Amino acid sequence: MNTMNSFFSQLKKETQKIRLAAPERERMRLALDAAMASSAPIKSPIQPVPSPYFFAPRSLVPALALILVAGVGTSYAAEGAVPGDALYAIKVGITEPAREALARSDEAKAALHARFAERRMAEAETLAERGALTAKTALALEENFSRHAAEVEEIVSAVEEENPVAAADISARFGSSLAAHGALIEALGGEGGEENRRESGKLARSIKERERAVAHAEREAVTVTAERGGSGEIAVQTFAKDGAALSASIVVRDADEAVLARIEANASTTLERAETRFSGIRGSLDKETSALVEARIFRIRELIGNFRDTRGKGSEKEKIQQALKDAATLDAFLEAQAKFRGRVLLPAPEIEMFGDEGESEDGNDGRGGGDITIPVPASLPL
Amino acid sequence: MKDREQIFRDAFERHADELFRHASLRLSDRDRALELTQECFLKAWQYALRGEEVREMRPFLFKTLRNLIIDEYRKAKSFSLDSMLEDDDGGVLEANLPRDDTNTLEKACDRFDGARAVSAIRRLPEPYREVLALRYVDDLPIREIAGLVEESENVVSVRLHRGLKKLRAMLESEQEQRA
Repeated sequence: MNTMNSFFSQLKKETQKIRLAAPERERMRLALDAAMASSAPIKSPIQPVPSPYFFAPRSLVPALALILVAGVGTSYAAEGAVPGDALYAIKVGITEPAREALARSDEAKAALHARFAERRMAEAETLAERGALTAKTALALEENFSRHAAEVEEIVSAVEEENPVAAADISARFGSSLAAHGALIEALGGEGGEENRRESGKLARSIKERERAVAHAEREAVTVTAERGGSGEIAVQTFAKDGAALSASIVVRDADEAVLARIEANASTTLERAETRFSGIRGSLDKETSALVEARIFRIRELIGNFRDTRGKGSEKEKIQQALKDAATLDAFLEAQAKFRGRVLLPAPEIEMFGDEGESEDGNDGRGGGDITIPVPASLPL
Repeated sequence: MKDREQIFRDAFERHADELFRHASLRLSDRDRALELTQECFLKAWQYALRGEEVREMRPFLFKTLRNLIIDEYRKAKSFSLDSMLEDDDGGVLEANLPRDDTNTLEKACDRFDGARAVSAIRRLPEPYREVLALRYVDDLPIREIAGLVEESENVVSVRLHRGLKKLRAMLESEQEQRA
């Protein structure tokens, strides 16, 4: 077997040359780092990074705790960085693109971009609260934010045709998150130096603009669906025996129903999360604020419970979307309240949220600036 | 308990190249081989995250990679169950080979440049390519290969033997064509 021996020694020698090139190796290492840092699959665009323990089986919790406390990689440490921190460049320049590269499905990609956009907003909030939002950082944040937000919109419109339920789900969540953060940045940036105030205001405005764009795109999608449904029904009337046309119109109706159900589920979970948050920080709130939050929770729960009621203005979808948006806003404010202890933020969202609600009750595009409206949504069935 | 994350990092540094090497012998596409190698580590990590115990890293990683490659074959449909079960006609081919090894083939093989050796192993059909690569490129002992492909050591030995015969036949006919 001399021949074969020679063959295999040649083979061995040659195959040893097959190696990862240095950049390939580095890219893989980063992907692995990112996977380790996130530890858990990314669930939804709104959910704040869930505790890594959440998805881990109990037996693993101590091990994970050890990893988090002791053996933390740079990329993990970078996760909490804000612009100006040494590790921020790693967060935005390395770990995030690495995760982007990992996302496979369109939904996962959209979820990821939505989350990165939310991170930019959260970073802006942290800086605004410190009074440290400068024109330069605000611009950088806004650019990065817009890039991710645009990606979300693009994916939503790409997915629209094929999977209208997922598309509507993503844009409803993202829209509600934009509404929440826009209001929060505005509230947080209300103090501090002139630059901080100005930049927070600018940022809040552009987030709201983005939210309007998302809502608008969403409305167009609804119209398209409705038209499609309409033509489907015509087809059914004309060719009553045409099974294909019949099933087409049913599919459309089912998709609408599925969208409603998803948004409803999202609204409920978000509200639950807000309630949990509230019970956690309740002790640190004064009576008045607590009462406001309670009233708010009650109102949202009612909105979720009654959104199918056909009385009053607005479609079922508009109502349940409003509920989701309100719940997300409340949740975001409660989260900020816990994060920035010592500042009372809560009365502000009341105004903002009712402002939003009032606007959406008018129906159309009249979502102007933050007009303070009377906190009684008159058209809601009570 | 030793830091799990560190174990994985070490495993990556140590085994990434050989896993990639194996993947690229099994797949024709370098990019896919890269992706599967990365996927292999991520899968393994997720597995560990679910609380499953990983006893030995290297066999475990090879196993994970193997599953990914099987999926890949299924997707590509370039690989059917039939071809996997196909009995080899090595006996016939063996008969065609000269009895001794002192023939022109040997000289040809001495001149074998490595690139042709690699190309030959890549053209070998499955499941022979798999066991030969594991044995002669990745240097896995037969016992480990048996565990990996979930066959007895005997089956692995037979498969190796047949693979070798096939390889010889392939090289031989190539040689004839050249001559």
